[in-house]
Amino acid sequence: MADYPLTVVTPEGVVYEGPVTEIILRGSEGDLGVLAHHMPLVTAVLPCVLHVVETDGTRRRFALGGGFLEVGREETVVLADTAEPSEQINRSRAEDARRRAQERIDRGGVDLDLARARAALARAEARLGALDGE
Amino acid sequence: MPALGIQALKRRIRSVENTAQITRAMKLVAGAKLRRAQERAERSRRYFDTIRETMARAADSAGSMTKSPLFEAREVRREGFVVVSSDRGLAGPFNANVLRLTAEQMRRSPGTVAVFAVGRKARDAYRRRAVPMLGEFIQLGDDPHYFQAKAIADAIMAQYLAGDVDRVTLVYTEFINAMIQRPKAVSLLPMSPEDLKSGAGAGAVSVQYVFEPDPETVLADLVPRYVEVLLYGALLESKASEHGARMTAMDAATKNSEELLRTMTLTRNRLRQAAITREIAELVGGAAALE
Repeated sequence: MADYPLTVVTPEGVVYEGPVTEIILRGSEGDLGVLAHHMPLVTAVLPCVLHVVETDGTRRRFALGGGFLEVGREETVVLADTAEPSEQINRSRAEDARRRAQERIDRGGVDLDLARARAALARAEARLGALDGE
Repeated sequence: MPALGIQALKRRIRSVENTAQITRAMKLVAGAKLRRAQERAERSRRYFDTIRETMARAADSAGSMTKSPLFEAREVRREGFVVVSSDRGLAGPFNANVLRLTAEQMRRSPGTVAVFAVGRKARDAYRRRAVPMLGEFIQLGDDPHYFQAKAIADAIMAQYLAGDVDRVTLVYTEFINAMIQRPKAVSLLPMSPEDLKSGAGAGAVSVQYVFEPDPETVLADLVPRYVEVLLYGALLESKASEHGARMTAMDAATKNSEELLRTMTLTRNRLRQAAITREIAELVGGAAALE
């Protein structure tokens, strides 16, 4: 299968760089997969699991904390606030974060920043998703 | 230097030696931290460049239509200044330079002014001068993290959107090299689409991108991230500059101590030699009197 160069970059540095055959992630308009020769596209990315298929068939997963996808003619760039390879994710911490975020949302109240709590929940779920390969 | 007794001189030499040791250690530490800060700034550059190019393309496709209120220029009744200083002193003119440039910018501001203070030095300075403070962000540590920059950027954007400030200027210190750091003021908000377009590289027009759902929405999503990364870059540059300035200052302090030690050791030796000579002269004088 044809491959194309992918770069996953965060403000803290380049997290992944290499030829891939396919990636799957969640854009603002829904899940999308990118194969080689995809049309040039720019879209927002929600907190999600980024699936990467390398040229030898190896699958990798990253927990993305929201950002952008830019599919260019030559290369594809994922700009993310955070991108954690699944090997580096701590399960119990991710579960704690998910529980805390869920509690915040359930408790409600006037001082609740719902957008923020939901974003935290989405990030925690993305981390767990990256661990479990969902 | 006042004429000191030999005892007092010895004590002073010891004290200067201790000071020199401390300044030498501070210089080494600042050098190590400087390298780290530089590496981090280097690593963030790729993200910054990419987001800037993407924004330029989106701004190009969106034309004059923008959905983000962060683009709307308003009449400036109150201008906010984000002043990036350090938490600690002993960094030569580092903080003074930033504060001076801010003062110049404030004089030119058409309305009243307010401050977002980053670092203890800026907070203390504007508190003394009773300048209205919209936010203070201290103790960011030696390794500013992106989430810290994000928190500051979020606070600034919220106040801008709430109408507390009509324009925001960022004042930080540009890192040129370990010897040279330059205070710099850049306009943060409102953003101007024209500025973005001028930043587009040569490849910007050659490919027609599809924006989902549309260029205006993508641009509106990109803008807050751009503000965040701009601020993050400013934090990193200022941090590198701070360490550079401290390294230079501590190097000068160490050199001064060494110079001081040299002259004081010379004086001490002379005094000691004079005392010995005097004693011998007295002995010889005494012996001569006995004969």
